[in-house]
Amino acid sequence: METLRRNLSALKERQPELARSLEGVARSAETDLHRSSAGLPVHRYKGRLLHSLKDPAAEAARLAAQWRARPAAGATGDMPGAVAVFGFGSAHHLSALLQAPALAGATLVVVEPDARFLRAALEDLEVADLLRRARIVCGEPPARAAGLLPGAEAEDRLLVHPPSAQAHERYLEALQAHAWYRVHGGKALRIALIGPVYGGSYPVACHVRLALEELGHVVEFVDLADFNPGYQKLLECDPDRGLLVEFEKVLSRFAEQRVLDCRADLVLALAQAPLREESLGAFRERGIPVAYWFVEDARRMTYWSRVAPLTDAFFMIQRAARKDVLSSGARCVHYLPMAALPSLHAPEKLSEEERARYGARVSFLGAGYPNRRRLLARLGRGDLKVWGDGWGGVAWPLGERIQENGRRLSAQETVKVFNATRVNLNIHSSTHHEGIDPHGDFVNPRTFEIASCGAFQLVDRRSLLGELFSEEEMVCYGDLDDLKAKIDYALDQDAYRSQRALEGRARVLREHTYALRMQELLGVLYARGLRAKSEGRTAAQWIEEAQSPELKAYFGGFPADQPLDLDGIVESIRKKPRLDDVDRVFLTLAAFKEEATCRRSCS
Amino acid sequence: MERILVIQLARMGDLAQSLFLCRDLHEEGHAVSLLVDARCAGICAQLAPWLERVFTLDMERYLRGFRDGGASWVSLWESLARELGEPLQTRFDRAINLNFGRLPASVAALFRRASRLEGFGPGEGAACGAPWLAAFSRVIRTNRRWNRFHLTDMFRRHAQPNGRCSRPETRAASPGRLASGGLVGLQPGTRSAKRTWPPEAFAEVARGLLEDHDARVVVLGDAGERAGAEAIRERSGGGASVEVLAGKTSLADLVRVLRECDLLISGDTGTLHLAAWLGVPSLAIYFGPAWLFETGPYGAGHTVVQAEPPCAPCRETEPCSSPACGPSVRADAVRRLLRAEPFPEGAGVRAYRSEWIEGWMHFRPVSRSAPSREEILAYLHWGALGEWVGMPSRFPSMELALRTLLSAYRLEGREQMPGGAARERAVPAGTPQEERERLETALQKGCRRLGEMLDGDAAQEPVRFERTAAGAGALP
Repeated sequence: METLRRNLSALKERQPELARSLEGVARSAETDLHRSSAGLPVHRYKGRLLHSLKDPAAEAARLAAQWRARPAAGATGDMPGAVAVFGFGSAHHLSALLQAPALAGATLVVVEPDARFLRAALEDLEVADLLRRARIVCGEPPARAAGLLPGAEAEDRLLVHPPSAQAHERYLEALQAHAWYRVHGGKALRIALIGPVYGGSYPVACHVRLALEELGHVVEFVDLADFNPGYQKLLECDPDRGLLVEFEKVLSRFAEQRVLDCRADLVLALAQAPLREESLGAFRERGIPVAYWFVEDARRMTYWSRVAPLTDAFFMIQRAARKDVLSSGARCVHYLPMAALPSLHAPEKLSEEERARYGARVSFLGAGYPNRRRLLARLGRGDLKVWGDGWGGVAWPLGERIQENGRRLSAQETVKVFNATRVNLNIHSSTHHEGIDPHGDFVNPRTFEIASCGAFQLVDRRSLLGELFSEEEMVCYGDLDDLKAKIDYALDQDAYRSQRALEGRARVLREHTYALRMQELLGVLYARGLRAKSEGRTAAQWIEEAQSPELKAYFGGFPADQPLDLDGIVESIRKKPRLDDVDRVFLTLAAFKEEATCRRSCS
Repeated sequence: MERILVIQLARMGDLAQSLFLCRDLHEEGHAVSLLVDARCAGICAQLAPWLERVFTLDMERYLRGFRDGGASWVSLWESLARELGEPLQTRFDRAINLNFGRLPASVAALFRRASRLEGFGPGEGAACGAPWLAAFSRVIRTNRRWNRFHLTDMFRRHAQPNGRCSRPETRAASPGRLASGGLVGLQPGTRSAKRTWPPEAFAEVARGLLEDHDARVVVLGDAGERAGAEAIRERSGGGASVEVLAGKTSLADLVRVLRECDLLISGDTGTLHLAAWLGVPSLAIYFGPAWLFETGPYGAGHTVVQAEPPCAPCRETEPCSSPACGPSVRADAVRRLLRAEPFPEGAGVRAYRSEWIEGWMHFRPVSRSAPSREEILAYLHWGALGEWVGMPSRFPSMELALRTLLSAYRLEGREQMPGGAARERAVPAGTPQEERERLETALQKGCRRLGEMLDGDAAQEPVRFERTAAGAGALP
């Protein structure tokens, strides 16, 4: 403990608050210490060695040399005045980096997501000198950590320790995107948001709209729900779907026109938006970037192969399909999990009448998928209420548990159900399994919504859940027996339920709100060159700057007092029936711009 | 005689691979000019003195301009218009774009007005309706493991209506016969960390060259690779027998040094492709995004050690979750290969030798082993392209592809034969319906024929090859 004392004492000199909080943190149980053949300390964290056991110092020196050679570090190879490293590891890479003469006097910021790991590192390593030179960002959510990175173009300067990146994949991808948002998000974008006609992603579109507006962006919501009655009629009467396809074409053209009319900086489409390839192509031709949030199961719904190649960034709630989507021709695929809207999904004080109507010891809210029917029937609880639609034909006794004739609840009503229930059951839907999907990966919106309400839930195990919530924040079950036992336990333990619910809500507010997701989504797009349309110089000012007579004459064709930029010129060229050489050179220049922003984001 | 502009705006390696097409066109009697990145312009005349003109575009200037800011887009437009002025005023009959991507396609489109535009277009299509190029692009975008067409072979389809290649130019020899006291170049650095073999491995190989072959070694590279090159020299213990030239050579010097070399050992680099153009034998270390069938050293008699984990070849820009493929190529195994001893295969690494198969570049495994289902599919694709795009005489026949497969691999049973579902999956995404049907039929016919060959004597009949011995070369 002498080592820890020395380290904390050094840390206190610059960061007393962090030092104090680390005093109260337990060492990570997933961390153990090993020794290299030369006796140097090397940690294993979550099953991964954080450095080479053979020669960690040489490995660290190579990594530091690679970092110093990065173009972002400056054309001359010199390091900038401030540099940020992701991952504390066993600090060999940090020591190697600090040995660079060019870094003398530079500020080193180290981002380490896990405070319990840092505690272990400070117990095991003699790093007092390092702690006196570095500033540690630890235990902060990605969005906040991004704000603590040095420099304007923070993302560029983030040097990543690869084993730490593997251990904290979700954290790092969010951190990098938030760093971009922090730099560029201050300028309002005009975003055309296109949702579906109906279905599960429609409320997501509404939440996204509110979140974007909360962030200060201007949202043009192309709300297609008005067309729902006609759409449903065709679904009923057009078994061959020929007319439905024609109707979708009309909707796509309608959305396209709305986007073009509002001169959007960005099109953001949600899953099931009836956007056809022609419209997506039209946006691309006009240089309007398209982002698409595919908030559904890519294994079951495969229309992404048609859409993804025509987008600038494709966001998914699963990681596993990323490679396939990239292979289909998508330029950028980013994992973006679901979220909650705290202004809606919040703790709510209910009246006695509401409590009687919506409340229960155990509730399930959701559509009647086959696996849910089987699981709930086998659960056999008389104190269960089942809410939602799609439960037609369900047999007794579960049939009696269906509330209010299986009608679909409004978003406000779902919040009341979550708040009024002691134990909310969350079962991810599946059409292929008897009960729980053993290979389930993505986490459904309900998980975040119930947690955001400060309500207690039991959720079936999902492979991507662990990086979104800890065991203290979310209670999972693995099978029917496990579920039965956990319901019985939770019903009796008020303090247990409220503690978990409190922790879960805090995590949602820190990391899983729609506003944070939209910051991340826009951050990814900023990294790929998205910017608000220029409010810069006018055509008259460009005429002054231009040397070439033909370019001066060309600018003369635009209104002299209107702002003019390269994107605006390209847009005007696209409308011309015939192009001359000046136009063509502009198109080539625009292609250079696109390539530069693409390379930047790829790097 | 036509006046032809070949557009190659990528780096040195791509330029070297494009020169084969330029030479074919020149030998057909056409006047060939190149539009290249300014960084490569200096050596074009040295490598290909018969080019009519070399036009340049300072790619980095415009990319940097947009990346870092500073120069206004107006001043960038003026520079671009100045650089493009002369080529745009020259009247070309044909302009051939040899680069993927929207940017080069946009540059090529500038020449659409006066020329017949060929080569790659934006997206996955071909610029001027060449269905074979669109099909090739589609395959390598969908699954590069299905492809057996070398990029240079596809470039060369733009020359000669019958699709046959021109004369030999290589002195490639087996590295196993490396003469004592020979000069060996090492090019350890590549443009991407994902395909850079560690300096320790290169040092071990250098030690082997000194101990086993009494060779002299030069370590090549640019200024940024100097420190790594010095480390290789030190670790190899070679003293004066190992000379570091990294950072000390211009491109013209590099060409002169390579011409002196008896062998080059390198990853997938510009230096490697330059050496292949010069006819210098090479031993290439390929892993990560590097895939020999696509961009191996072009010409007969080269050796390539390829790591083949299930995720290979990966994309250059994608993060790697299992970076084990580089270390899986072991330096001691490469040393054995240099001594002409059997290559210890296994653990997803295989050695290949390059050869010509009726004018097509082919990489033959050094040891004959059983092919995977994916490898059989790759050969079926190789033999199906002609039927697929309706140009059977311009591409290898299915018969040739299957005979090559059977002579290169040991296929004794039908266990790995792709079934209907596998064949269906082997149709690249985005293939138009009519082409899809033709490809499916060709793959089906190929499978049937392969079954017949396995049943009959045809399987035993070896393919006839052109000579690939040193000096004779066999670039058909």
